[in-house]
Amino acid sequence: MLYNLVQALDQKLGFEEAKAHCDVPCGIYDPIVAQINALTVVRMMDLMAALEEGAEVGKKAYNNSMSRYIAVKEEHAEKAKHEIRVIYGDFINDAHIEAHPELPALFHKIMKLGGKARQTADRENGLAFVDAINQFAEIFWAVKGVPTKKAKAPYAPALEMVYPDL
Amino acid sequence: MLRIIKVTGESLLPDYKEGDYVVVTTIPFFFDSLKQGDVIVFRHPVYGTMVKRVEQVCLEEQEIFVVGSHPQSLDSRQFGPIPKSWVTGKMLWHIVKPG
Repeated sequence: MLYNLVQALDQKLGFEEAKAHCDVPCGIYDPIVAQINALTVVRMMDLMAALEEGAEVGKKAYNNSMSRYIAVKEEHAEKAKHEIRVIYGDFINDAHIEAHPELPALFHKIMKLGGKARQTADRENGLAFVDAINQFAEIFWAVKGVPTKKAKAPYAPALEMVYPDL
Repeated sequence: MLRIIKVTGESLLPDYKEGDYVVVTTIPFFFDSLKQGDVIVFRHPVYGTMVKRVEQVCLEEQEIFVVGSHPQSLDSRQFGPIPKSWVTGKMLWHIVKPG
């Protein structure tokens, strides 16, 4: 009740704000970068599989494309892991973990799936990587008090993704 | 005098969260007795009005080392101790945002 009274006064009078600042740029965290990176991993796996079915297997063009796909898969799996590490290390705190006790295990799962996404071309693992990061995004937005929605990515592979419902 | 200040940002989580209010005294007399654990409002020339917790008071230098509770808090660990003259308020009451 006291809070509501003060809030009403604030809306009328506009109290001064004091920043409990974090490291600059404070508060700019978004799991979408990790989600897109994980999606890219699956896309590269699909391109690798399609290339294997072509007639150019073993030839110069094949080797060139395959090595590029593998390099991009490696890079984006690591980028996804990095993004999740930053959010988990810099943003998530004890109160968040208390509210979402599954977070530490999910974080560890993402790290393991990301590692395996680099080591292999296993699409099922790639899908699990995307799914785990989507779960992380869902929790992240819940912590921020932002509702989420699920929608298919508007590009290949059109996997279901978690987006903030703004 | 008393002032009501709204907290923004997350560096004092979990004790103080975005949307909380603090009632502060702006009477300089109260700044003379600042001690570890007090929550103060001060005006930083670069970052503007900030709210942090007092970690240490150096009476000789008239400086205060302020910290937040969040690991990424921007505080004296980055910008050094602040002069006591920057302090504009000492918290008396904390009005917690429900939920």
